[in-house]
Amino acid sequence: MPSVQPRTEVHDVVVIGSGAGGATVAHVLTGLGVRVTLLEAGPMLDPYAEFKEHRWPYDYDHRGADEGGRGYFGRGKPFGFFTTTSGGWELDGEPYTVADDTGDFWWFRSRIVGGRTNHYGRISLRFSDYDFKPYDRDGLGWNWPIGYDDLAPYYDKAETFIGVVGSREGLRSAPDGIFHDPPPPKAHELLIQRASRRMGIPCIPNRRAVITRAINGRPACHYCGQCGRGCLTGSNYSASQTQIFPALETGRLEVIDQAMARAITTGESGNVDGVVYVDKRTGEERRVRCRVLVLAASACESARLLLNSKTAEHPDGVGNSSGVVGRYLMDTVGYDIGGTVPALEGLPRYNSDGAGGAHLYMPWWGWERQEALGFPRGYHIEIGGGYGMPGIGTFGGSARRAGYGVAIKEQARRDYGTRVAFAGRGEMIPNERSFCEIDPDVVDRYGIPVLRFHFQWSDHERLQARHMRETFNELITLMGGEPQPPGRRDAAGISIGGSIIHEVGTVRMGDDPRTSALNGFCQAHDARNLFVCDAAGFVSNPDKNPTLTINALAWRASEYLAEAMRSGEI
Amino acid sequence: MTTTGETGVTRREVLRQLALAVTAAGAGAFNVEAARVVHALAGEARAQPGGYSPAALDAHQFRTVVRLAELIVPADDGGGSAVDAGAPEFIDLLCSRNPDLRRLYVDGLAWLDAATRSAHDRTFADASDAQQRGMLDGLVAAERGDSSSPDLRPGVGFFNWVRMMTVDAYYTSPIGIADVGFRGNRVLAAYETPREAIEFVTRKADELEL
Repeated sequence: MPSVQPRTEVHDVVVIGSGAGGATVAHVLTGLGVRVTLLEAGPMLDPYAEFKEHRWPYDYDHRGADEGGRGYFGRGKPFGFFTTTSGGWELDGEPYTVADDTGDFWWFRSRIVGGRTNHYGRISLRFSDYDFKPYDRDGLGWNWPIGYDDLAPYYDKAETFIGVVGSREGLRSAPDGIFHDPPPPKAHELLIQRASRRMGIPCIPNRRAVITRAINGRPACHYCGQCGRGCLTGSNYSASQTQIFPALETGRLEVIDQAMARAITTGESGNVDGVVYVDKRTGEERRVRCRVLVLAASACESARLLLNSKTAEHPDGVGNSSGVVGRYLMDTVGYDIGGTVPALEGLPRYNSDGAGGAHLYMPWWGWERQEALGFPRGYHIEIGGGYGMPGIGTFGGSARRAGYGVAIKEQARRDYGTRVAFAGRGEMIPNERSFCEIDPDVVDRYGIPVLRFHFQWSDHERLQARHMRETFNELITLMGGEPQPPGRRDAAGISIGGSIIHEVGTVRMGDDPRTSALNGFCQAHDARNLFVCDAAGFVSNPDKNPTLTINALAWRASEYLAEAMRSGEI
Repeated sequence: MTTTGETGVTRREVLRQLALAVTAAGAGAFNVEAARVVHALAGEARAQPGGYSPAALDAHQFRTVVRLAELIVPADDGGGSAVDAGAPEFIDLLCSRNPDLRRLYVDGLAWLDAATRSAHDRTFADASDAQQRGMLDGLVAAERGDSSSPDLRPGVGFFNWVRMMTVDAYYTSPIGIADVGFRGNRVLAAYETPREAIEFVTRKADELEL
């Protein structure tokens, strides 16, 4: 262990990471009177400096192609210049490796207060009751140590606080929550809905973390459709604006930004007593001592920190006596198909920006006849289309079809708004060949050993992706359109592992300390004052985007932790 | 062209409504955002055509890019040309900040001049309108694999770049955005899909027997 300057102060609770998990912990604990010190590997967020909401492409001399047109060379920001995305699948000086003998894996990291919630899609879906007990359904994977009833009160609290639009539908695969009124469907979505109904697929109001009435001093959505750019009025959920900034106002939260955690230290009886981190501004190593440590650095980063923290009491890494830390890495099965629908040519122009993202989506509909489908588990369908703001690349296809001249303009006027897209987001079954471990040969710019990934889809996922392809082709064909094959994907047609940015499950929870690292309250079996409150604790990765469940699990863990601290148990 | 004026009004309205929303929320620091937009507007004024000195391309190369932009996206009843939209300046500016892109243009323009010379004994910029169109027709034919035209395949890659960036410059300008009829980027109190749009898709769904 390198030489450090221990501060004498012992912080009550240190949280590492300020995304959906860490910010929820900071918000809930400070609200319960607990003092929190939060380490974030990136800088503090300044929405007014960083968000590009309401900007036009021509406000920038590069029009959105990014500095020197690097967007044209595939070196622009992930998801485009205008998004508030911080970080990406590659970070300067912070490599990771992928083992030679497996499929590819991309690891997305954000280093900023609020993490990936600043730009994420904000789709907010509760797990179904059956999602917590997948093994009982089909004998695959493992059950969660908790059930829907355990988490439902915390879904309630999370939805009430962050605000989610949606409608009550009574579908078992998509449990209803506490919703703000959803915006009405867009025109192209009504056509899609007609096609989906023909196929017996429900197409219901989307569930996204956007508010349509003012709450907690946050004004209602103003329907510019630019959630991904960051919302200056805070009318959608981002961990930074919704939770960290208000928690700072309580006076009980201290944020130490630009702090890259290197290792956890432990004391007597194997409990955690501090964290060593690199102050990125000075390069100096520092240590904070703490009574309780909460990891919320993102699933793989939390696993990396545990594995890099080998102490006398924890020779295989803190919290890893089971050996499961790093194992059972999952992403979401992604399969996307777009298509041009001539029936939408001539649709009257209108402002279809709306509340950001789609106003409708299709929850999984096959859960009652799973055996007949030939693959386990399910997927939901996200839909795209409408009259988006023109930008770099919008009319490249029209131009190629037309050649040159006035024909390009005519083609663009015909094509505009006729493109629809379907994105399947499905459940991956955890498997033994998908995991991360410490690469013995590579360190990052801070000298911290990096992760090496192993990732393999199985036939379960390949068969599911095939079903997605058939479904989307049929939807587009029913609308009279021409399906176009998806973009980035692996040989089997599935998205590359990690590219959907739903990586979960590397520090899984369970009842048995021999086969799991955490209990149902996100508390380490091996160290009672250590919690992991990001998606690392996930036992499975249902077709429900993980963020809302991270919020709910972190909320539940925080209340449990506050009570344990009050009673003196911790 | 009234588009710029209209866009200015729209943005002022966005600002005003945003200011109201932010004030209502009790948040501060709005003046920073307002100042930023004022800067952006000033930058736009500077970028108006006329008086531009190319930074990466020489005078002949820039003149050639201007002519290409005019041919690729000409003016018509629906709006001005890509030159009106600032496409040549956009291309030159990015070339000035990206050596790879500049190389691509310098080499591509040299190829175009050489190919035009071998066909018509003139540079592309000095060729007649019909000769210039003939060259572009040949490039499009080559791109589509039509072998009946003179083989201009070596220039297809460059033509794709010029066309892509010209088209991008047009549709990211106020006139191009107005041309396709984008109506968004506004602050609304409520979202609504217009009745005529709903009726349109309902009719189409009926026709498709959905």
